[in-house]
Amino acid sequence: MAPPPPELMEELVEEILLHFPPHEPARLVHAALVCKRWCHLISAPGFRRRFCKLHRTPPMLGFHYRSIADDGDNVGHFVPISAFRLPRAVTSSWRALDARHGRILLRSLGKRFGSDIALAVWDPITDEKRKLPLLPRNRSTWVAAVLCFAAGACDHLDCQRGPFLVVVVATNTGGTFICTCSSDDDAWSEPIFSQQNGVCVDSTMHGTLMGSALYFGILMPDKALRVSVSSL
Amino acid sequence: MASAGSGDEKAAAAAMITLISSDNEKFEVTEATATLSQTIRHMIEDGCTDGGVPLPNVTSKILARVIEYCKKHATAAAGEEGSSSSFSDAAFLEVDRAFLEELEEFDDAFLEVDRATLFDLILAANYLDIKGLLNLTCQKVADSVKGKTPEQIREMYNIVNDLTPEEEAEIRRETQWAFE
Repeated sequence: MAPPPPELMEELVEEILLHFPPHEPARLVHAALVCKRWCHLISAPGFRRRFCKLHRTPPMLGFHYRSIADDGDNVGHFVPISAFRLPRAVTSSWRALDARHGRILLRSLGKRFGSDIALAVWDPITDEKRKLPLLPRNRSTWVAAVLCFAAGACDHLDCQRGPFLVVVVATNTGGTFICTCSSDDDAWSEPIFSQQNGVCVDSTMHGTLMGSALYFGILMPDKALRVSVSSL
Repeated sequence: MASAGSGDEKAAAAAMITLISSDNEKFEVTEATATLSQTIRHMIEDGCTDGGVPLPNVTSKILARVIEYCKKHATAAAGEEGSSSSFSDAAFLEVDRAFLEELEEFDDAFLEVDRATLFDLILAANYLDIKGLLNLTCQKVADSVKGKTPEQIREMYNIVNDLTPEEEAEIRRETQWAFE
């Protein structure tokens, strides 16, 4: 019979666990059940960071979509494409607006909030949902984006539970403006108006983060609205 | 096996380094091969390799395997440096691809060892600080538990389950999806 393998130091056991494939998260869970040491290593605060750093591009675990129920209400669903299941796959009355840095920005649907629109930032892994103050009413067309609060100065390897920022770009009769709400705020910021006249935000386009600036589509060919995140 | 400078050593004038295993066997290798190990690279930089480099944590059996790996990959590293210079035509890329495939085949064959040897290679790669070899061997162990239950993994690697039934139940409850 082959001799038993020699004992490995903790950092080498971790090195092996870090090489588990990210697109099969169930395998890390099974490994956590092997013994206390493996369980502690996998659930230690630095593990996720090192795991993300090694594998870099996160795997796609599924997607979120909405359907319309028999009573006419909207229902949000999560469709997994791996073994991974969210603690809550159905988010009735909420629809995903944007997703970034491990967080999903939801907006209320249906009749529950009347004509007001409620936004919430949801961590789909832990199922923690943080409701934001009601959106200011003086808007006609709008889009919103969620991002890690330290967007320009973070590598986003392990910031899911850290502070976040939600940016809303809206157009009303007075022009186009942005307002923001961070995880530390309990109200939306005062609107900051674009100095350019005649800009109208395109509500069918998602915001895109490049470096430390968010870009939003506007109803003007070949142009976008740039919001410098570091200046917010 | 402990002899030096076999025919495939291209640069005859290359500096040679003597590595000494825990069981006192001497291995003579080129500096290019030896410096795949960051540990040895630092020793060379500090000028303390005269009279050989003692490696008290590595047996001759494992050191021979590690040198085999380093020789192959040192050639690959030299090839990469060459390709970044003036050659960029398709024929050259073709050769490059063939070489990478060969390297992959070499790695696969290199990893066909029993678990004890694999773990010894991990320990040696860590001690000698050879990132490529550490990644390769750790990936092999990680891949080896594919489709295995926690019980089977424990059996494979001789691990005692010290989780209490309550702890185990809690993990299973929190991550039910992983067991469906």
